[in-house]
Amino acid sequence: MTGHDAGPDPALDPVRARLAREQAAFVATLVGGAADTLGLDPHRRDAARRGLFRKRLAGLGHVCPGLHAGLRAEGRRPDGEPRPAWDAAYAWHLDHPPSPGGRLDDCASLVAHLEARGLLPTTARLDAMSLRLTHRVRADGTVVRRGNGPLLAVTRVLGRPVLLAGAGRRRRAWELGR
Amino acid sequence: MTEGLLPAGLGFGWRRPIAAQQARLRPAFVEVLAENVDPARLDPELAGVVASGTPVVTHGVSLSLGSARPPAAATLGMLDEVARACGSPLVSEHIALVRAEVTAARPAEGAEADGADVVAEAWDEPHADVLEAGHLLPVPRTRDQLEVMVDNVRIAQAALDRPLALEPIAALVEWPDPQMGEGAFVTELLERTDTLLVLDVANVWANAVNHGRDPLADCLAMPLERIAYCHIAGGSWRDGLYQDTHGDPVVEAVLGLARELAARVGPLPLMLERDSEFPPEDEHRAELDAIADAAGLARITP
Repeated sequence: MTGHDAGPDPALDPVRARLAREQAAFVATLVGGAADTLGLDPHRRDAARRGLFRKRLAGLGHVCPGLHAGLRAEGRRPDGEPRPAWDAAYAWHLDHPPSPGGRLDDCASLVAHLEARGLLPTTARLDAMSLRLTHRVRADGTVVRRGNGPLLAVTRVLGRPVLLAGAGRRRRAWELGR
Repeated sequence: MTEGLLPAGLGFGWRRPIAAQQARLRPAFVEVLAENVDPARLDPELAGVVASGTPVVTHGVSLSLGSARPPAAATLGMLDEVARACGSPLVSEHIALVRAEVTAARPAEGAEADGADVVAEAWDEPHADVLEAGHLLPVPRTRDQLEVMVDNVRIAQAALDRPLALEPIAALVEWPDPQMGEGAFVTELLERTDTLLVLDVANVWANAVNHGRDPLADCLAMPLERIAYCHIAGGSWRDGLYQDTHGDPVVEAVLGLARELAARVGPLPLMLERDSEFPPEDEHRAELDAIADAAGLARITP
């Protein structure tokens, strides 16, 4: 605690505005696929883009583990071997900055992107099923969350996929694939 | 180094996927990622750590103290709530930006972008949109950035009920035309705001080797007298650059830098950050033992 006034210093407003322009260009270049207007080192810039992509995928793995596992397996293939889903996911990364809505929205967007191209890893099927219950794909390919309704989710219980449904305190589960 | 907030010793970043493993260790302290904690309902294993009296540091990753926009009151409130729930002796964050403000639509895939089309007109525009980076990005080391960051940090300090420590990040790419070195930037920021330092040994090493500098010289250029605690983490080489992945083992050279630091500063609060690709328990313990040995700290494994 320093006891400073909690508000920003108004004298810095012009500096903040100038800095905002530079930072927007920087972030757009690294995660938004925008052209580099700042003169960054091209090799380091591209390495940073790929590094941010890998870290983003690792983050998505916390909510969509199958999606992460499938893409990671492709990404580890030796140079020269085809990595179609990995490449498609990287293209998605450059054109889809992380959603302010969080990782689940990001996963839904990436799954829709891969499904539309027939490149969804088989390990991601369960994730895709869950996401269909919470998100829908618009005609233009963008993804939105469904409205508040009864709980619907696909999860695993003792290693088997299970559909959960409920409202309030009432819950039911159905084992899938029987 | 700053004494009193955390004991010298080995700790780790508490992670839910390996919480059961971690519960069998005897850390000097732990750190939690604030964004992964519900302060109203602590995970039972984390609640056990808090109840044991082990110091728990609240570590944020989303405040974006380096952004042109002042830090969000909601994020500061979240950090404060988590810190209260965990009884944290301090809160830590990063010298970084994780989002920027934009007002115009981004260019379509493959389109040639004009920089003027993707930037904000003003940081406080009512319709400004937010471009999330999704991860920590470096700030430009300029006087403008420093002035704004000092102001942002003071705003954060006024909202937090405990000391604040700041961590310089690992960055593959740097802004062009820096007006000062990283050590000078960090030192001035911390001195003007009276904040503490989270020294990530792996970040220092990564930045130095990726930009052709001496890791030990970079380390010694930091305000070591302000160290609250230290991080160490693993990484790997890709694209000819060392990447601080937090998903690989700690490399020997980083352990060596931790050894050099301890030889100069003495025993420190030092913790392992592992965020993904969690190894089997025996490998994890062996890595913790190696870190403890390198830094001259007591082992925390059974």
